[in-house]
Amino acid sequence: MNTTTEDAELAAIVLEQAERVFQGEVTEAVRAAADGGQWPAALWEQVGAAGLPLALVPEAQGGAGVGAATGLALLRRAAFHALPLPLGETMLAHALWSQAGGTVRAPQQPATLAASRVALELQRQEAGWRLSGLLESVPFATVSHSVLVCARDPEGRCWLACVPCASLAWTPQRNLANEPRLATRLEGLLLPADAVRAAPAAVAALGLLPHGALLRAHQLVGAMERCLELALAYARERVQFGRTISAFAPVQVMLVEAAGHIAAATAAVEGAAEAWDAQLADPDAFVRNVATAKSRAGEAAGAVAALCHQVHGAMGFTQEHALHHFTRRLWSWRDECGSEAHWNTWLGAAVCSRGGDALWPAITAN
Amino acid sequence: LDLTFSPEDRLFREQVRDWLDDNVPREPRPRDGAAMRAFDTAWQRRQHDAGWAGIAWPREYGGRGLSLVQQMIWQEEYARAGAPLPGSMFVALNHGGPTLIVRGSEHQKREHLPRILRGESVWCQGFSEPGAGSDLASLRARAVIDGDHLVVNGQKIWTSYADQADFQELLVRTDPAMPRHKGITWVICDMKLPGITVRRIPSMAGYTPFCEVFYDNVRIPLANVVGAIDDGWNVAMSTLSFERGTALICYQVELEQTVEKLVHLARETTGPDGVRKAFAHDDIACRLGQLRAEVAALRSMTYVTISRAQRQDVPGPESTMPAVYFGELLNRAHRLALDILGPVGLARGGVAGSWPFYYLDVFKQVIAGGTSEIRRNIIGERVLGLPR
Repeated sequence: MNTTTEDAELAAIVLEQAERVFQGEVTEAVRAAADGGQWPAALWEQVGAAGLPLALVPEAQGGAGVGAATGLALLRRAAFHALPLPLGETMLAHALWSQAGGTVRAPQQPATLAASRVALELQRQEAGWRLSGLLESVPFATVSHSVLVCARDPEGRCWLACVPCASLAWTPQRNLANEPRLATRLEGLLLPADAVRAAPAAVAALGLLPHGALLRAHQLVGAMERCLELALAYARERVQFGRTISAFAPVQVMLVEAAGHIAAATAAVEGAAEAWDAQLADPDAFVRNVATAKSRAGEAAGAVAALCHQVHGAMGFTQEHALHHFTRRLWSWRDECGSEAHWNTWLGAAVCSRGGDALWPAITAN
Repeated sequence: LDLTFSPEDRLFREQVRDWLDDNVPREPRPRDGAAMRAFDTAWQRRQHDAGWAGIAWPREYGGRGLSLVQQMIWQEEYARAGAPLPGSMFVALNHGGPTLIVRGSEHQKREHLPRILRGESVWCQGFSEPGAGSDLASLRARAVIDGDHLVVNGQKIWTSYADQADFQELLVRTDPAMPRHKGITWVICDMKLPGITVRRIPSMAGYTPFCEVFYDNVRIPLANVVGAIDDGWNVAMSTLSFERGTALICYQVELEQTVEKLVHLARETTGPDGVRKAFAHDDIACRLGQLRAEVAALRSMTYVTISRAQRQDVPGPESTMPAVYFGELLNRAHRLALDILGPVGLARGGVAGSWPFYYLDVFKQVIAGGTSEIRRNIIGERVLGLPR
């Protein structure tokens, strides 16, 4: 990664600022209230005041202009604290919209994105556009100002549309972690001309699904790190048969297995973060890296959640212990934006289509 | 394996099937509270009135005194008929009652056994404590003899249905100076005694029957002690000599039914490629096939265990193996449900029905009643003869 000293300093400042907010404000009470369906408005204000929603937007367009690696590292930390906000969705939506030449309309409010593999239909209509199709599993749609969607016109060209959320009727639903995931059907929704822009190449391939997958993969790693930290602390403190359970070999093996999964997943998601910057130049490589990262992190998530629960015994199963905030997110995120099976199938097809001679160069390219 | 079904056994199966078909409650079991208790006890009462209560209990205590093979037939038919699991009656029927039968005084037996069979009293277990889970013998709830009473102070945890129970099989430490497995006493605790506080423990899945129980100078008559003072560990272990592995069969049949439901689900649901049914995906088809083979293997293991138990006074440690296998299979089956459902499987209260709830709920199965690690230790030490 080529970062100048100046970039490294900026990254350190942003990460430190974010960590201060997460550590100080994301308390058990805040997480529990969000779990119960409350929108943590005050917490969003604090995150906004720290400038985090615009972190990935270039300075020239009013953002902090940090690189993708730093922005995604920040989101790993947010997941480490189970931040109950659409910070990742907002950061990515703003970054992609700016990248496409759009102006962020309401920088103080949350934004979200429809990370679906199915593109919506777009039709030109006099001075504007008409948008149709099904939006599914949109995170935090009712508290967001706008949702970024990928759409195709009748000629097959790919566009990004910034759709205001407030005017739409959303069907409420929540995932296993009780995070809002909403759906709505658009039937010829009228959009002004400046709400639609040509999509970058990396979006044209698979819509916004890879971008959602990249976000979830990084969040998975952050939440896994927290699960392991909790399990290590519990194993060192819990005494049975006259010893801390960390002294028992089967418990040690479980913890080491979890650590191994996390190490592998971290390497995969960091590789994908670096590919973000190259997505305009090499969209295929970007999607390939994301597919690898989401698949590997998803595989790790199932194993790490089960292992850490087993170390915690009955206690980890209750709402009184914090573990469930992280494991329920793991079980949700690993299947959102393409499950392991989805990305493995995609990767397999991609590798096969390139033929045997291309396999070894592809493996050794990174 | 030595299990054969005689003509009488076959006739018995038909009788059981007919009775269950006509009598199994069809309304859904309430998930919680007094309504749930009323449902469980009414179903027990209906079985009792028709002569089907206490199938494993000796006839002299009002039970049916069935052979192991007939118990197994009952459990299989019970699950096949979709009969409700014993729920809040489980501890009374499978633990408290059997312990009294083996170790209780005549008075205790007369007092409690008929009421359990009639569905008039609900029991809970009072074994685990915050500091004594896998290591049960380290329990510290303290009981001091004061005149003709035990005075109990301390705490129990993971007590299923404590908020609905009338009685508790309570393990307390009566002599802290004795070695760990001694100095423990098994006593019948009336849950309405002054000084008892019950608090529910919500789980990550939402509702579960778990509670905590706190004891503040609770005075229990010495007449409620089962066996002798300081001999409670032996009393607790003697319950195990009653259990031959048949009580768990209905849970296994339920797992078999879950796998069949998964096959059905996979036929109905669009699979990961968004085009073909889940069933048409090789990976899912393979996992369904493997699960079906494994539940068949689990059933065979249980048959072997029961067949062996017919010839032994005390069941061997081999019965631990199907228990470990069951818990892990159950978890895998529910993981497959989410994979079949795809993204909609994550939605609580949505089209995925109760699958997401059970996915979270079944995690306890590899922990409750002995973690898979502790059970594997038992297999290692007592079946394989490995050093402690």
